[in-house]
Amino acid sequence: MKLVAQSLRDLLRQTHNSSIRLLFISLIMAVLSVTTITLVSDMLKRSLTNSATNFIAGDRQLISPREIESTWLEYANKAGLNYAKSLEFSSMLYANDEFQLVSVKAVDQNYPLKGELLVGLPDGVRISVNKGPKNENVWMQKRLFSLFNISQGGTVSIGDMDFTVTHELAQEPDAGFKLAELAPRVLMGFDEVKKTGVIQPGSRLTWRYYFTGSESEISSFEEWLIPKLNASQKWQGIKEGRPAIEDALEKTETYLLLGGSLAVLLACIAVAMSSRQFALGQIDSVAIMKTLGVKGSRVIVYFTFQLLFLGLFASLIGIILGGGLAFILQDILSALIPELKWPVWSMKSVRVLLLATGTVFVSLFGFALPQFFQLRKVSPMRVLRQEKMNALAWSWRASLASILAIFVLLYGYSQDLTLVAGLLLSVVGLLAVLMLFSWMIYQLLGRNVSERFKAGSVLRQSLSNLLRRPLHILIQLSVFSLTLLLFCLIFIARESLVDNWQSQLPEHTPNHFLINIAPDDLGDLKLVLEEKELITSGLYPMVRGRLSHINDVPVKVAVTKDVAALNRELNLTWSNELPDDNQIKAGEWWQERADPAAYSGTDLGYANVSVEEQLAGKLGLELEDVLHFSIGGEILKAKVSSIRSVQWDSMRPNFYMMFEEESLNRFPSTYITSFYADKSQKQVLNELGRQFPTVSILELDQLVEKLRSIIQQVSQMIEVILVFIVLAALLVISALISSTMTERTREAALMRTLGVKARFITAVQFLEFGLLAWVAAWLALLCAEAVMWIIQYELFDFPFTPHYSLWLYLPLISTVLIGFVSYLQIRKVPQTSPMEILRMY
Amino acid sequence: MSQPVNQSSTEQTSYAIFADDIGKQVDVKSQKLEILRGISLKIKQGESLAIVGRSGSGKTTLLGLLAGLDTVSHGSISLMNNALEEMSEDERASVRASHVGFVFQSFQLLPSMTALENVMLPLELKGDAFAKKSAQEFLIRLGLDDRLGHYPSQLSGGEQQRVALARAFACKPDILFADEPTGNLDQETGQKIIDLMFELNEANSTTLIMVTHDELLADRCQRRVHIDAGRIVPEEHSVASNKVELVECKA
Ligand SMILES: Nc1ncnc2c1ncn2[C@@H]1O[C@H](COP(=O)(O)OP(=O)(O)OP(=O)(O)O)[C@@H](O)[C@H]1O
Ligand SMILES: [Mg+2]
Repeated sequence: MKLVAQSLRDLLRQTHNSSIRLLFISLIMAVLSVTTITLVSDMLKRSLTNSATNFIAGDRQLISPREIESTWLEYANKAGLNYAKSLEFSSMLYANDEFQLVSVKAVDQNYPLKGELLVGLPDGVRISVNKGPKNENVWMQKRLFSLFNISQGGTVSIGDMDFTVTHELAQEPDAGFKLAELAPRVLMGFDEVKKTGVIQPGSRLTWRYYFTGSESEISSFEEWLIPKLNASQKWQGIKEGRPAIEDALEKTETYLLLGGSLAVLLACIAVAMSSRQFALGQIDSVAIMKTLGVKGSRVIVYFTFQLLFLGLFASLIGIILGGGLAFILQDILSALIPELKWPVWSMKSVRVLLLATGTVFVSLFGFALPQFFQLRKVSPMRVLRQEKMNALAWSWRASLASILAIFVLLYGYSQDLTLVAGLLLSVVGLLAVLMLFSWMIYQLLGRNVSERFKAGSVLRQSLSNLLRRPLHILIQLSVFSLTLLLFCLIFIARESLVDNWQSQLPEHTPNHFLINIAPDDLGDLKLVLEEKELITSGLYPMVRGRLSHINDVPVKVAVTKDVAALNRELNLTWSNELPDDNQIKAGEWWQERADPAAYSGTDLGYANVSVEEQLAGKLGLELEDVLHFSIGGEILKAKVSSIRSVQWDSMRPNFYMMFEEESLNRFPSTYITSFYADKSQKQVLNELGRQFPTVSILELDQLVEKLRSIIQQVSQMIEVILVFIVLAALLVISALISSTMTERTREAALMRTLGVKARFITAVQFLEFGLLAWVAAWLALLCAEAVMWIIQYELFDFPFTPHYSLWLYLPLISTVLIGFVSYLQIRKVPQTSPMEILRMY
Repeated sequence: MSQPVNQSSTEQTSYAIFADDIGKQVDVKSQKLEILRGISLKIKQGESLAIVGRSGSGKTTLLGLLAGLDTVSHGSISLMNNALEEMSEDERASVRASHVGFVFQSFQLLPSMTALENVMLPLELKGDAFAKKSAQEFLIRLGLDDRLGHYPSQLSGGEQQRVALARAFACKPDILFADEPTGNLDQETGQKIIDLMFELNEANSTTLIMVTHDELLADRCQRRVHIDAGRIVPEEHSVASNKVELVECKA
C-alpha cells in the first residue's frame, strides 16, 4: 500500500517532466481519436442512413407483385417492427368528361414511416403531412388539375368510385429518381381500392411493404424473411435502393475506419515513443532505488502503479474531451439534419467508453510496461559510474509486446482482421522503404557535406549537427516521412472520395422536369427557356410503346424472367446525338442516314436502336438483334446497333431505348426536358405553367438539395478524420523531437559558454528540423505518388495523374508544421542559463 | 554604483578582470537568498588565481559571474574592459566568444562529436576557415595524435579533459576559467592536466582563474582567494609563496 501511495506521490511530483507530459498528452490523444472518430462515424452513418431511409419511406421495403401472406406481417409485428403498405397500379382517371391514364398509389394510414409527404396549398406553399388521404379523398399531382381543369374540392372518379380531390400531391418520399414511369400520380386511401373495382385478376400490381425498427430487430426479421422470398419479390434497404447512396455509404464507412485506425495507430506510436522517453528518464532513479535496496520486482510494481494512475487520469480527461467534441460536432450536424438525435447513453456510447479506456491501458501496458521491465535490469553500479550514454537496450520481447498491442487495439477498433493486417503490413513496409531511402540520402550526402558551406554559418552548423548522427537522421527522417506519407494517402483518398460523390451530383444538376410538352409548343417553349436563361439537358421526344418481339419471338416466350420493363409501356425517344453522360458499351452510335425509308422501322428498313446496358443484360439482347415495338397498335421494327450505359441518377431524361432521329416521326409524341433553376428562378415556373398549361412541371429541387446536403455533410465530416490524423502526426513528431531534447539542452548550454548567441542556437536547431521536414516531405510525396500509381494504374487500370497541388503544398505544410512543433520545444533550449553547464555532470 | 569604476578607469585597463563590490542574490520560494556579498577582485592579465573554500561557499557562482555566464545583483565587473553588468546576454556572449575559455570538472564534451570535432566546434562557430588544422595541431600538442576520430565515450577521463583543454585553448582565450578541472581525475592524471594548463598559460600568457579543492593546484597559482559563506575571508594561515593582495571587504 505504501508503494502505491509512493508511486502516486512521485507521479504527481513529476508533472513538469516533459516526457511524462508528452506521454500523458499522447494517451489523451489516443482516447480522443477513438472516442471522437467512433462517435462521429457512428453519427455520420446514422445521419446518412437516416436521410437515405427517407427516400424509401422506411428502413426497408419489401416489393412484391402479389399481396404477401398476412403471417409475415404478424411476424414483423411480433419482432417489434412497424410496417406500412402501399399498392400501386395504373388506372384511368375520369373527370369533366376527360380521362387520363394515371399511376395510382393507395397507401394505408401508417404510410409514410419515414420521409416527407408534402402537399401543396393553392397559394403554392408546401406543407408536410404525416398521413396520406383516406375515405373518399384523393390527392393528385398539379398537372392533373390543369389537365382536368378542376380545382381542390372537385370530383374525379377511379373505376366505380367517385373521389373528392382534397390536396395537391407535391412530393412523396419514395418517388425515386427514375423517370421511366411518368404517368401522373394519384394518391388514395388503401381501404378504398377494393371499392373501385379496378383491380382484376391479372392486373399489374406493385405491393410495397415498408418496415422500420432498430437495426437488430430488422436484421433478425431479415434473416427470417429472406429465405422465404420468391424471385419476383424484392427486399430493399437503402443500399439496394439507391446506388449513389450505397456508394457514398460504403466508401465512407471504409474511409472512416481506415482513417480512424491510422489516427489510433499514430497516437499509439506517440505513446510508445514518449513512454520510452519516460522510462529512459527514470534510469537514474531506478539505479538509486536499487542502491537503497529496492528489489527489481518492487520497481516494476512501483512503475506499474504509476502507469495505472497515468492511464486513469488520461482516460478520464480524454473521454470528457472526446464526449464534448462529439457534442459540438453533433450540434453542427443536427443543424443540417434536424431529425438526428444522439442518444448519449446508448449501448454505443458504452462500447466507445470501453474501447477508449481499453486503448489507454492496452497501449500503456503494451508499449510502456515492457520498457519498464527493462529498467528492472538497471545496475545499481550506474550511480557510481555515471554512465550518461547508456540507453535502454532494444529488446525483441518489448517490441513483440508493442506490435501485439497495436494489433489488438486496431482490431478492437475496426473489427476487421484484413484491414488491420493490411494496414500494419503496409505501414511496416512503407517504413522499411523510407528507412532505406533515408539511409541512401545520408550515404549520398556524406558526413562531410557541411564543410562546403561557410564556417560559422547556420547552415553549416545545422548540416553537421544532422549528419553527425546517422541513427537520428535515419529514425527522424523515416518517421517524419511516414507520418507525412500516411497523411498524403488519407488526403488523396479523401479528395477522390469527395470528387467521386460530387461528380454524381455536380453543381447545377437539373432539378426541374418539364413533361408532356406538345410538339406545337416546342418552338415557343424553347424561346421562353432561352429568354429566361434556363439551360436544358436537351429536349427529347417521347413515344410510349411496348416491346413485343425479340428476333420474331414474342417477348413472353423469349424472356422467361420477370422483367418489369416488359410489363409496361416504355418511353421511347430518338436522337442522333448520344447524351453526354451515356457511354457506348458495345456496337457503335449511328451516323445520320439520308434515306428516310431506310430507317422507317418498317420492312423497308429497320431503325437503329440503342439499348440500355442493364436491360439488355436482363433481356439477353445482343447487337444486331431485331426488336418489335408495339406503338398505338402499329409495329415498329428496329435493330440493336449499340448498347449504352445510362446514369440513372443524373437528373436528366434517361431512356432504355433510343432510336435514330425521325424514325418515330409517324407516331404522336410529347417532349420532355430537365433544367436547373435556383430559388430566384422559381417565379419563372409559374409563368411557364400559365403560358403552357398542358405542360407538367416536376419540381425535384428539394430532393436534389437533400442529396447534395448529404454529400456535403459527408465531405465535411471526413475532414474531422484528417484533423485527427494531423494532430496525431504532430504528436509523433513532438515525441520524436522531445527525445532529442536532453542532448540539445546540454549542447546549447555548452555552446553558450563558448559565446554563441541564443539566436544562433535557435536558428541552427530550427533549420535542422526545417531541412528534415523538407526532405521528409519530398520523400513522402514520392512514395505517395508511387503508391497511388500502383493502386490506380496497376490495380484498377485507371489513368494516373500526379497530385501537383500536394507537390506544392506538402513541403510547405510539412516545414511549417514540423518547424512549428520543433519551435515550441526548442525555443526554450537557449534559455537555459549557461551557468547550468557548470552544475551539470 | 558604477562610480568607482569610472574613477579608476585608467587603473582597470591593466586588469583582465576588475570586480567591484559584487553580490549575488537569488529568489528561492519568494525569499531572497544571498549567495555572494561584497566581493571585490582585481586580476591582472597573465595572472593565475585560485578560488578556494568550503563546499557551498559560492565558488562556482563567483566563477560564473566573473566569466559573464550569469549577471550580478550588485556591483560591477569589467572583463577585458567590457562592463559585463551593463550588457545583455547576447553582448556577454560575444565577449565570451572573443576572450573566454572554459574547462569543467565533468569535461562537457559533446557525445555525438569526435575529439577533433569537439575542438573544432568553437573555432567553426567563430568562422575560422582553418578550424580543422588548428584543432588538429592542438590535439597533437596535447598528445592525442591517435585519438582524433574517437568519441568521448571511447576516451578515458584524462583524455577527455585533455580534449576539453584543447578546445579551451584552441580559441586562444585571454582568460581561462576552470571549475575543479581535476575533480574527476586521479592525482597523477590531474597533475598532468595541471602541468598542461600552466604550460599553455605561460606560452599564451593566458589569465587563469580556477576553482579548486586541490591544494597542490592552488599552490601553483600566483594568488588564492578564499571564499566563505559568500564573502572573501583572509587566509587562515598564509602560504609563504603567495602574493595575496586581499581587497578589504566592505561591511
Ligand atoms: N540558482 C540557485 N538557486 C538557489 N540557490 C543557489 C543557486 N545557485 C547556487 N545556489 C546556492 O548557493 C550556494 C553556493 O553555490 P555554489 O555552487 O557556488 O557553491 P560551490 O562553492 O561551488 O560549492 P561546491 O564546492 O560544492 O561546488 C549553495 O548553497 C547553493 O545551494
Ligand atoms: Mg562548485
